[in-house]
Amino acid sequence: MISSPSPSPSPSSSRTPKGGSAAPPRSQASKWRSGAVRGVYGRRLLDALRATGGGQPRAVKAAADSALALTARGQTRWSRAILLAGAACSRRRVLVKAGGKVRRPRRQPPPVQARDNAAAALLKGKGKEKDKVQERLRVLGRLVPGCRKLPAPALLEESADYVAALQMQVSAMRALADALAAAQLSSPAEADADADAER
Amino acid sequence: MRHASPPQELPAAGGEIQAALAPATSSSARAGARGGGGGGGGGGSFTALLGLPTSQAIELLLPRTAPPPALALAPAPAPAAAPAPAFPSDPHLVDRAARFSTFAPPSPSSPSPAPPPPPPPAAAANAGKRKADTVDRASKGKAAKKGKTAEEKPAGGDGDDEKPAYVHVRARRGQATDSHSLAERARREKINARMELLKELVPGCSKVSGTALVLDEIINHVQSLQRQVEYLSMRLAAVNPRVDFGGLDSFLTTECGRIAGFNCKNGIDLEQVTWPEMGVHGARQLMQLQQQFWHGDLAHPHQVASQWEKRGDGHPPVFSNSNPSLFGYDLTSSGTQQTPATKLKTEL
Repeated sequence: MISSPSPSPSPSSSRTPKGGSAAPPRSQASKWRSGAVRGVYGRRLLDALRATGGGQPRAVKAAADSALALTARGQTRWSRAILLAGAACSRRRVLVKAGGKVRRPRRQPPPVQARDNAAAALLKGKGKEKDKVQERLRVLGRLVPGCRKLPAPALLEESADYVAALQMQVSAMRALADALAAAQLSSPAEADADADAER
Repeated sequence: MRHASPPQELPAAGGEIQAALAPATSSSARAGARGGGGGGGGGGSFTALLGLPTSQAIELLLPRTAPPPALALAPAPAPAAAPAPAFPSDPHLVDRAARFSTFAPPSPSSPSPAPPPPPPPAAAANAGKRKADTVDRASKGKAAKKGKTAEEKPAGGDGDDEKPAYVHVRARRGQATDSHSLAERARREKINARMELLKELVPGCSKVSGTALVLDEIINHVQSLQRQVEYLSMRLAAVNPRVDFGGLDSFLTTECGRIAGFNCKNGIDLEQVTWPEMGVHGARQLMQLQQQFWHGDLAHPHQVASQWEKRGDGHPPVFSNSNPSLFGYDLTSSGTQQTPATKLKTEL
């Protein structure tokens, strides 16, 4: 490949985790499925749950989402949006700022809307149903936090990471809920099981 | 023959000539050079090899030999023999010329439409030249039509490999090579690559073809995941007040290590769930529950959610009583259910 000093897909930028635009995007599935990440998230989730005062589903959900965004380390747009939305803790703010520094602003030519239309227009092919794909992209942008008005390729990348993260979150929360339920069930029933659970 | 290369090689050759000339006897070399310069025939093997008329060679040599410092040759070319620098013995030159000629691209056209870039120094010339050549070729190709680029490129056959300097895109045959379509194609490929990633992530998308439907599936999947998160948070909120979180740390770590094996959608390995703190009976029923959760949930998320809601909020299920009635899933064979239970027994 010709390495030239032009802006766009320079592979020499070591700071950006997401390097070249034409380079194949990272596989987030592997990143969010590793056992280490699950452990990190599990611990954070526990901390967050301990912090919530009492059983309010909204608080629990907010805590879980914040824990997830923290685990994402602020490298993605949706994680930063979540952290900013719930930013009461100074620790989170610091992390968000660090994430903002690490992540380089995207090298996009100025008109975002025009590019979005152009990109989506290219994607859907020759059909006249540009609106369908456009509409769905907009819906997707609304679903993923902080990703409205994002052009198509960035939006797809964010949503891939978000989906992987959500899957991990769901499985972790389910495991935790089952564990809690099981522990709760066992504790009044069997004394030694209770002692085992405490260890 | 390749006319583009010699003008570049000559300074290098000139430098080499001068360097190689130092040990050689100046007088004999000069005699041979004069013979070559004058006759253009037998003695001038260098020019004969290059195929250039001697006058042109000398012309080209002249301005280039001026700048490079005359190393050991200061006395030698000073007199009128300067225009004809002495050529060293043939084998060296032949070797060098041969080596240089293999590197250079074939540019049969005269130097005018393809003026090679100003000759960089010899050692770095090859690598730099290749780069410069491709860049040059690319810029030429962009301006020129396809037929012309086919000439100028090396015989890569059908390779309409346009490589503009900053977009690493391979143009296919029969496709336009102007910058707009190239950029569009790059954009399209970017988007398609990301769509592929998403399709792999979201289960059940590989069958669907067409962007709109795939996006539909993705949207549905995201919504269902978010709904599950809400439901689970409700469960956790209900369980929370009664549980002491201290004992859960170690529990969660072991579990996370095992559940990590669960998380592949394709193969659900049901044998790895262990609940070491449970009694055997409770463990077995919990195992059934767990298997049903994993298996059912991963396959039919909506149904499972409804089942949970049917069961009511807040209270953990009473395993011993309600299992057969609530969960109508057809599980895997009882063999798989037995083995985890036996594993549990041994562990306990």
